[in-house]
Amino acid sequence: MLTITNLTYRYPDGTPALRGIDLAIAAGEKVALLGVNGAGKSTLLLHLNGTLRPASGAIVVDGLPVTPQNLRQIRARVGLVFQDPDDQLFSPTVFDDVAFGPLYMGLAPAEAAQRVQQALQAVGMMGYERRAPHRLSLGQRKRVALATVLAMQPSLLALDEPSAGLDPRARRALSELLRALPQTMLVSTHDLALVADVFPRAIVLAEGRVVADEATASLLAHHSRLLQYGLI
Amino acid sequence: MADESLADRALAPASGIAVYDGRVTTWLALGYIFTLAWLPAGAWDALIMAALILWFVIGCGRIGLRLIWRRSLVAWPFALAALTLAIARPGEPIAQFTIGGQAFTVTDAGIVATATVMIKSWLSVQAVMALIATTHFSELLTALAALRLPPLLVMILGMAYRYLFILQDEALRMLRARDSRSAALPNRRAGRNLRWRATITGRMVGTLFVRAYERSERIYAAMLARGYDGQPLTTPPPSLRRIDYVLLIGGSAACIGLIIVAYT
Amino acid sequence: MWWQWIAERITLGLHIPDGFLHAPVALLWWLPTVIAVGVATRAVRQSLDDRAVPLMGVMAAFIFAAQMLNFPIAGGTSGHVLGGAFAAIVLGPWAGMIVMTCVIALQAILFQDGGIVAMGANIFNMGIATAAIGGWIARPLLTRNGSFTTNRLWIATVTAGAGWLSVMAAAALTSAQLVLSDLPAAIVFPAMLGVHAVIGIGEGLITAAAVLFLVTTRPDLLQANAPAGTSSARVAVIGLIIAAVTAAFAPLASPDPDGLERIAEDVGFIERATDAPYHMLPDYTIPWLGETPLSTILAGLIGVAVMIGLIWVIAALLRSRPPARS
Ligand SMILES: Nc1ncnc2c1ncn2[C@@H]1O[C@H](COP(=O)(O)OP(=O)(O)OP(=O)(O)O)[C@@H](O)[C@H]1O
Ligand SMILES: [Mg+2]
Repeated sequence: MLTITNLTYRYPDGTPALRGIDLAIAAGEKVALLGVNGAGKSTLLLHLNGTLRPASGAIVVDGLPVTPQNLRQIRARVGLVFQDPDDQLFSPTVFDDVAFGPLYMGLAPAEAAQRVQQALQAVGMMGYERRAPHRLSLGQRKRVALATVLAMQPSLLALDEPSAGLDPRARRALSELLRALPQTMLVSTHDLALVADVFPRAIVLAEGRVVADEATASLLAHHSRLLQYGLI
Repeated sequence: MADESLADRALAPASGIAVYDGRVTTWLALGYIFTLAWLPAGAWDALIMAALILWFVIGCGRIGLRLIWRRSLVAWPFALAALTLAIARPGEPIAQFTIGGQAFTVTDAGIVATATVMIKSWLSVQAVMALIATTHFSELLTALAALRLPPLLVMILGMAYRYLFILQDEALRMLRARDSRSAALPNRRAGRNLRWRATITGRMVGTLFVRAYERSERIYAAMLARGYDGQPLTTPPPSLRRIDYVLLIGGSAACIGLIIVAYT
Repeated sequence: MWWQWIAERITLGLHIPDGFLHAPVALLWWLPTVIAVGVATRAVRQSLDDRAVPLMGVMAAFIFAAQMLNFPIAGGTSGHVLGGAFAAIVLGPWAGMIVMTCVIALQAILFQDGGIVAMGANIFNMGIATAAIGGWIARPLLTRNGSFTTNRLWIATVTAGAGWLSVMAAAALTSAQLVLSDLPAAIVFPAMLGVHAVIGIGEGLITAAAVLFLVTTRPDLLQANAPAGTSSARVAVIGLIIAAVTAAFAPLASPDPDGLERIAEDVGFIERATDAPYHMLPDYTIPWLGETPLSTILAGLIGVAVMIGLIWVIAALLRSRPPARS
């Protein structure tokens, strides 16, 4: 479903953010992406839909390589939610923002409106359609941001810290939602409770490299390693 | 792509102590560009001298001539327009060609005019780049104020510069968000139609406008809270040192020299 | 990709770099610009008082950023907004002129989009003329008895039309200045007006969508800056602009080469007419010094001094009046 080989990336200012990432994720798998601040989680996720172009290495989603020519098709398959919801929401109203993806893909307005309803329902934001995104609370914006990609029904969800800033109830709802969704997922997070709840597999990044890739249960069982990776 | 900020495009002021007064660098750069504008077509000696003077100054300022040359290419697509000069000037015909049944004649005077325009344009761009590489924007504003630009306009320019990169980043983030959800399904036409795409963009402009307007209101409140009353804050700039006068006089003499060389 | 970069540069084709305009032409266009900006500065200081600096400054930064918001049209070209008409429709003509002046000045200094000597012309084309169209044509049409209309179709039509017209006016003025500087009218006018007739569609659509968006979400912002009534002076200015723009559009209306040539001739005539002031000193020499190099140089210096002096005096006149405060 997702194969990444020897991915490296350097920001324009010279910061080496990724230094040779290799990983493969099978269809339907739900994988957590862990690591301390600055480990490179966001940078890696930004590569999945071609927002950043790798310095070297290759990314293949569903048999389709992520290249400038394929960007539009890739973006139909990969639903990326940015870490900062203000990066995600660019439209004047919640409805417009969630409807943008489906409409751009060429769905009929009625069908798009239906997708919007489903997506907002899934994240518990029904009734906020006409509100301006930048007037919502942080947690509400995070949920709308997730809805904007759910409405596009991608086959791979790449979520960057979806639970940060959510209240306990919203966090539990998110955890249930992620478990219920059929999509393949790669989700960066610092929330070990969410990891234990939803993701059978965990990948740990440190300084732009994969330092652990294993079953969540075995990782969480080793207190010393969690300390070593800076996860607790 | 949206991942590199346009802020990179403005050359960062050279590090280290600013040796020159910002007013001197600004006035000399403006004087140089105005002088270039007055050089007639085909004044090769003056143009070559002008180039050497500029490159000497750039070299002395340790700005990096290569960097400036690379970035100075921005003006070149407009050079296409300069090419039309080659057929516009009356003179000795050099070549002829027809496009769509209309005959065009390239003349010697035309080629001279084209080359002159391109060189002037290129040198002017380099002079501006050298200026912003050595002079902080606030010094530039001081220099403009000393040229009797209305104080209100100077303050507005300063405020615009302060928020320029912040709002550009905001626009870039909006573009990135839109791009990352601009998807195509295999058997469907993506992007609907031109009007829809333009409408989305227009609403983005509107959204950005509202955010900027609200930000200006917060800034206004913050300024009032600190006792701002609409009067420009005039800390008189330090008076020019002797070395500044020497530079100013030397630079003016060079400019006048260029004019004399060009017209004699 | 490089061709997109070039396409983008060509759509920036309204920013005349230095070197293209003859020095007298460039200086000549500083005159109306200095006058307009001077009047606008006074008007803005009067109407906005101490809010002028934060509002105008942030709005200039906004226009700068808004120019980056583009949408794909076809084949690597993209539509985007110049913003002069929008700024004037929303903030008023004088504020629009100030905002655009700052944008164009910053573009020239920080990014070398457009020249320094040519800045007078650039500000006039992209700032003064566009804001005049937005502020003196579109705004009076959009206000009824001092409040903004609510007829969405009418708003869309007027604002889209003003956006398109503002780009065309800027392109026509730019072409005229280039032609005055000896670029061939038969190429410059059709090329510039042809390209910008298309680019103007993007401007019109974006302007209309943005204004409609404000009408629905923040009508208070539009109301806050709504003009009082239409004065006869305003109407006169409208007439003038329309006349100028129609004259400039004539090449489009007559696509046959004869028409083009006639325009070229007309333009040549204008050129000779505008050249006249410099010919007060015949052939750039001073009569009693004969045709010596010294004579040429002195004549040139006198010409420059007269021009700069004129600009200076006008600027001084505009600023010497005490700022009216309410
Ligand atoms: N725009 C940028 N320009 C330069 N360097 C950057 C940029 N964004 C991130 N970096 C650097 O790249 C590295 C990886 O950053 P990244 O945002 O991927 O970390 P992260 O794992 O997502 O951290 P966090 O948990 O804080 O979100 C860091 O060293 C960071 O400083
Ligand atoms: Mg991150």
